[in-house]
Amino acid sequence: MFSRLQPALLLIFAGTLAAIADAGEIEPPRLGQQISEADVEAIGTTVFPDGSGLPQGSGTAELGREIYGEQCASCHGNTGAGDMKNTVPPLAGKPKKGADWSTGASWPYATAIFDYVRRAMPPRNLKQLSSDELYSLTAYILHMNGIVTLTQQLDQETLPKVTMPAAGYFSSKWDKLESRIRP
Amino acid sequence: MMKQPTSPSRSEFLSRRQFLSTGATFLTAVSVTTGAPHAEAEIKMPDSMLYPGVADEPYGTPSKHEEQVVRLVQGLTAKRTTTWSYSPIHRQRGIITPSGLHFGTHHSGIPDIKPDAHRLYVHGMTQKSLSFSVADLLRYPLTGNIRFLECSGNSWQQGAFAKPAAKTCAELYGLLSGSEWIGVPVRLLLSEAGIDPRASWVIAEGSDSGSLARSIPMSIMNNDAIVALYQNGERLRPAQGYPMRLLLPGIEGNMNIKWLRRLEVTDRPAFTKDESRAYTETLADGSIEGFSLYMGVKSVITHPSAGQVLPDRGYYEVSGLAWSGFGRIRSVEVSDDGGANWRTANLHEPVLDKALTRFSLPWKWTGQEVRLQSRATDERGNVQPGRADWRKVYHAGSVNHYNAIQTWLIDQRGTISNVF
Ligand code: HEC
Repeated sequence: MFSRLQPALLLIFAGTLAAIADAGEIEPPRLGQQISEADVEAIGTTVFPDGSGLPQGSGTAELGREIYGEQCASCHGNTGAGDMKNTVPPLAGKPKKGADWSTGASWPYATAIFDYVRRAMPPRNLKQLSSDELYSLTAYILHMNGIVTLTQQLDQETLPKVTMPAAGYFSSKWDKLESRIRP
Repeated sequence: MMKQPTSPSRSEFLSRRQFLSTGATFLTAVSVTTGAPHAEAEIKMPDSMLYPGVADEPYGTPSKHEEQVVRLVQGLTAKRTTTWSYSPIHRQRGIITPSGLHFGTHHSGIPDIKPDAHRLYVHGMTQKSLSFSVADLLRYPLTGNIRFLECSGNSWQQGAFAKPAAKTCAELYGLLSGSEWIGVPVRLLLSEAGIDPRASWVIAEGSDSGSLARSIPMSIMNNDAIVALYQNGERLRPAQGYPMRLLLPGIEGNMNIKWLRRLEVTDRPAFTKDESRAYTETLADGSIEGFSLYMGVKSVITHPSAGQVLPDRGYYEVSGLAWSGFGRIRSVEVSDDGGANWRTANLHEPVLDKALTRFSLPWKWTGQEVRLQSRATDERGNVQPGRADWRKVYHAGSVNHYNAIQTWLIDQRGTISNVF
């Protein structure tokens, strides 16, 4: 009772006593400001497996090899072997044992490599790579895994068509559990 | 699940009556050791009662005598961008972790975000694309509760290594914390933007340098997810996502996106980097399972635990924490003979949905070698598996979502270690 009185008093002074009578029906505020399509483009950077979100541009592993040597090899190694002592994951190679994965062996979609390098790599020169460079680096990582050739061109159309080995052995626990535990 | 009767000859857990009488014995022993009857009193008035204390400080700090109660923090290197801060759970009691001791797994360090400049965007398969300031969000109805957060890699050493690592309780279980999280229900913000009925996933993205992004099922977002603004009564700490983070009760830590910037409504997951390898498991057949989301039912005895030593035989309170991503803890059982016999532990109030729950059991150490274990069951009937059963599901070396029963070996000297 008391706790209801206090806001009620405040509201009397604000001159909106009518509203408190139906407190249950007061709608939460709608304070979101609408943003423009151009702003949505500027902030929306997710790339999906079907290729939506990929920008224009293109690249090849041949072009990517040079950028990789300059910007990535110091941490990930020339062959993409990584350095797990420093938590730098291997980008290429077959797992020695089941859980010892590389990007090439464990990621089900090649589009995600483009997405991640654009977000987060290299860690000290972030968000500076052009779309062409990103396609080329993605191609080079795939090439180190024997998935694309040196000269195969990757772009909006072709990158989503690349089939990753892990697509054949990746499953979603959410899909399996969904019916039992879905909120 | 079978509850086996305790065999009195082996177990040293105490009934309530035994516990009370042991307590009385202990007190008697203390009074006997006080000094000779007619000597001059040895007890002096402490300085604190003779000199005035100091003034209070605007923001309180722990006692300087508790300096050892800190996290184990792994540092950045020239190459390493991921760091772990292990909470000292073996030194804490209760279901709330002090905010400064909350665990952290950071993939790109901790950003410094100015609240006035920060915006949360909601867009994608919506009628409108919206932007919210921190001040806006603070005017919405705020909800929340006490919840646990656990890194899906907590106890990773138990999955990674074939032999038990010589690690302490904090190193093995410290990527776990409990807090009261208060914020705006995500469902309010999504409905304000107007969700396309075909939408079924939301991509949440942080404004850290790695723009960490995860795909989250819409039904979880519309259930108990909040954009958290307060942790344990104060605004979030930078390391916990200041000025705002996603809080998904019961769901693996990594998906509780810190420094939340963007909620992109969509009809499919994006398979981001953290859902393509880093936060997946390898199943026994060698295939990969992702989107595990819910943290399984789990418990650990924190007192006593590896890294501690029992100084003496006699009474100890065995206590620890239990939690489940699927709901409330229903029961915790404790064994001191490696799982042959189990005793039901006391659960301490409050026992909350998707929160740490404290359990305890009075116990007497006779000086023999013992194998202490705890086993939790949640309200859905999920029972914490033994290590062998956990390993039947996962491939050797698979590290995430490890929730098997922990065994602490106490040897005859009272030294406690991690064993399988
Ligand atoms: C300063 C060291 C460093 C440099 C330089 C670097 N990386 Fe990384 N990279 C890392 C670390 C550390 C991680 C793991 C990040 C994490 O754990 O979240 C990583 C992760 C990745 C991953 C994800 C691998 C996986 O399977 O999870 C990819 C892909 C990647 N880097 C590509 C690149 C590319 C391409 C470049 C060059 C443009 C690059 N990196 C440069 C350190 C580096």
